[in-house]
Amino acid sequence: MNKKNLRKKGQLQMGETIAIVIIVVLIIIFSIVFWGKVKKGDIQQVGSEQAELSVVEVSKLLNEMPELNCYQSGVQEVECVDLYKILALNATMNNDTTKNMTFDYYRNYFRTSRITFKQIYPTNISFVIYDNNISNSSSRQLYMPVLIKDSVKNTYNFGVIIVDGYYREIR
Amino acid sequence: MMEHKNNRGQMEAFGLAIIVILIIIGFFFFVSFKAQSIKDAPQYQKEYVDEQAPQKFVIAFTKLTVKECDTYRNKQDIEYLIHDCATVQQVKCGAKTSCELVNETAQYILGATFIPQNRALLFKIDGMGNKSISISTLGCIDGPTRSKSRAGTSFVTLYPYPGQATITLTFCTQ
Repeated sequence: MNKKNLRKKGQLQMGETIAIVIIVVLIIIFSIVFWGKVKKGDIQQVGSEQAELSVVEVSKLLNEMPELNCYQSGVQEVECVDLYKILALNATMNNDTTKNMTFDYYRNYFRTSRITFKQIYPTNISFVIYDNNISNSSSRQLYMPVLIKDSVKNTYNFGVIIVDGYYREIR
Repeated sequence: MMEHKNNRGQMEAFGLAIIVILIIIGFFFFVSFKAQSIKDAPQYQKEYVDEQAPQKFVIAFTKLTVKECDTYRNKQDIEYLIHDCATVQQVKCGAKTSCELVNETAQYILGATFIPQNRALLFKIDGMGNKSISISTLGCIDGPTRSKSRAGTSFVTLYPYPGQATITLTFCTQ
């Protein structure tokens, strides 16, 4: 009787131990999964912040490029891009002989983005001066007003610079 | 002996309950801190656009050549038309006065840029007497109700007449 009781008690304690081990293992698995999800969210947030910063950086860079800015008697005009410089850059980007070289040069500055100059007033015209759209990516768009100078007619038109920044999301 | 075993069992259950409560509290704190950090995450792009776009808009708008006045003398920009509207009101391009041209151009450009983006904004040209212009969207009005707004301002001197006209574009963030 005493031996039987002892065996029963031992079985009970073993069952208890197994149950505790199972619970602990479940808690550890749950914690690892939860931590992984949290870390993934953190990485996604950092990626999104980097994409935002990159778009802002490209936009700031565009304001400081002599190959786009307007000049009057050698003095740079504020918030102004030259229409003919945009046309020239657009032509260079689309010319078969100069395309690759130009693209390689500007890739250092504009990376994975698409830059469009859109004239809104007096007429609607768009010029894409750079496009490096990567596949399977999300995009962030930045929209900034700008003055577009027509040096031939000596008129100033209203336009916007649209910077689309492409980045890969972690899934 | 039996009572002693019962006491031990109760203590074990109590210890387990404390552990579970501590885990739940820890989890709750973690989730609330995480939620707060997501809420406080910096929005670089929005901050940059809100800060820069109104000023850039106002500068570009002031220097703009108005298409109806493309042949009028050498000065055909908004700045000149604002000056004329605020002072002598002599300029006419086609059938339109300088004041009408400024108003129509502002309406057109805002209608092609920020208004379709559903931005709460207030565009104002003050200092033109009773011809002052004010365009507002989504309840973005002047006064104490406006919160966390970003503005861009440009001035047009009315020389040789006294005073100045002020062009302001404000983005409201409700």
